[in-house]
Amino acid sequence: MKAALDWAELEGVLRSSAEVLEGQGQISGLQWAHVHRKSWLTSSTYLANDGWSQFVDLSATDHFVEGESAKAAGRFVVQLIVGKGAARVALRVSLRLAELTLPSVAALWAGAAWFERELFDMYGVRFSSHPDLRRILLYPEFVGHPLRKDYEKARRQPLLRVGPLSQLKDGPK
Amino acid sequence: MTKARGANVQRNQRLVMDLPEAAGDSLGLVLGPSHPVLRGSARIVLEVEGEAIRAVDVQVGLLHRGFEKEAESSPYDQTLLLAERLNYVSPLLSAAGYALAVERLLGIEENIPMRARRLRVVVCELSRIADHLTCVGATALSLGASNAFFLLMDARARLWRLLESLAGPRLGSPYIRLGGVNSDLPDDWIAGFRTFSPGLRQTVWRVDQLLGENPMFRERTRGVAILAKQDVQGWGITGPVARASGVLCDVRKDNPYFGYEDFEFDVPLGDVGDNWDRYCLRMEELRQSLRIAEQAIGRLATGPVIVDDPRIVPPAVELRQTQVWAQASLFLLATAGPIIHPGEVYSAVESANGELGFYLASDGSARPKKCRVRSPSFANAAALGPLLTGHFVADVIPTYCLFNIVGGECDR
Repeated sequence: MKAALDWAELEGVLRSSAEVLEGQGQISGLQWAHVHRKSWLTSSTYLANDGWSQFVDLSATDHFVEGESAKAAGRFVVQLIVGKGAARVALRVSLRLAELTLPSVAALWAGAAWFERELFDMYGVRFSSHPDLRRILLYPEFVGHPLRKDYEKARRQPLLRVGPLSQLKDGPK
Repeated sequence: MTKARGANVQRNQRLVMDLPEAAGDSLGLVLGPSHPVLRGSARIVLEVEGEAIRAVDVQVGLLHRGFEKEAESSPYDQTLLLAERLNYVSPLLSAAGYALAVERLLGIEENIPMRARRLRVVVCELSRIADHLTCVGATALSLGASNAFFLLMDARARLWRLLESLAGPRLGSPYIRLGGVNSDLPDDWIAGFRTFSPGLRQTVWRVDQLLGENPMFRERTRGVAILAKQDVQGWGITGPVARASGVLCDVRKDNPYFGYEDFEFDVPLGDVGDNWDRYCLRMEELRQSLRIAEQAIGRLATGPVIVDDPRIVPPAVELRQTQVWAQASLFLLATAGPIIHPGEVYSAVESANGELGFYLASDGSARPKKCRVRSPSFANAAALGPLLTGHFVADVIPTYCLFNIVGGECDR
């Protein structure tokens, strides 16, 4: 088993379905590969089959620029980190605000389901074919997605009336 | 951990398999959000049929404080204060993890003085001990073994007194600093440690007698909540829970930091992955952590305890009184905070619950563009729901305890 990501092989896999590797690189702690949104599932499946079985993290970074139009490209970068032994590799994808959707990878790494819920909660990214997409750290009545840069830190949420016990099954209130 | 268990495992597995088809008379039961033995709060919504659990929904988030949002608008050095508050039982571990990430982002990991690294190893291992003591103690309490709980909490109180003498506060100790540690050890600290460590060994031995040899405790933990080895990685589970299922992973061995490669210690492994294995593993890790801490105390290097780098550490008082640049760099640090060149880093440490990772992205300003915490408790908590399905209601709390889900770290 290789302890590093084989770029050429990943590029080959993507090319065979008429897709390209948009970028690759190395930062302290991991290698990364940047793919197109349409290649998200193909590349994730490749990684899962290549022995990157340790799910590590799924997060996003908002590259918001003041005054930029909502349709500007590369606003969000979603980053999936998986591992093989001690090695870590990140798969990245850029999302535009107008199309904040990605296919879910929870079928490849079961642990991703909660992290995808968190991304939905914090950034509003929707995951298609997710088994249970609802807010996780915040409550259902919460308005907005607080980790977006355009969500002001000082913003307040309306107070809620405590509901009957039967509503508890829907989530924390 | 290789002690034979046999009948119990089989019986509990049978319980999981023999669960009858839904008869339509299930009951909704809500555990929490407050429970005496949970660290932090979480709501566990169960669908039960008699005593058996049909479905589990673990609802976390009640302790969400917006760590990542706050970190994006705070200077790098002030976020250290928040990082200490991720896990209240072992604050120094999360602080050390964050400090290491910033040091790696600056590329100065190798410049950290050896004495500072050794001291960090000592306090990290002591924090791990505190965490494991709490975990095992709470589990014992949840199963009615309050004598073991008091023994363990007494040991933890003695340990916290040691950590308290380093920097002041008993919890959330501000001992770790970017670039090193806050101060050198107090004069009588090593003597205090030497008194503490045989006492802890004896406590661990006594608790092992009280719990490990207790038929009730064995009955309640063996074969309960078996996490199969092949499921561990997909769930993103790391740390003691993964090792109890037989998966060899330990950041201290895989990607050593703070000079962990200089110490001799074993990484214990379980074989079945049930609650009993998780208990045995934490007991063994208590001994191993003490072993590392003793080695580190014995091999303390001489020299400074913090790096000499004006970007993150204010220059010495003598310099500030005579040199203009030193005064200016103090002014910059106190007003803007450390300014870090553009870059990214993913850095992980082995916390008491698993791989605690920090992803930092800097755009060259005094605030990180992104500060992500990869919380091991969050990943572990995700696996609990499916794992508990088919078990008894009474097994929920001990399992939750042994997964050691700390609310503050899980919810951030």
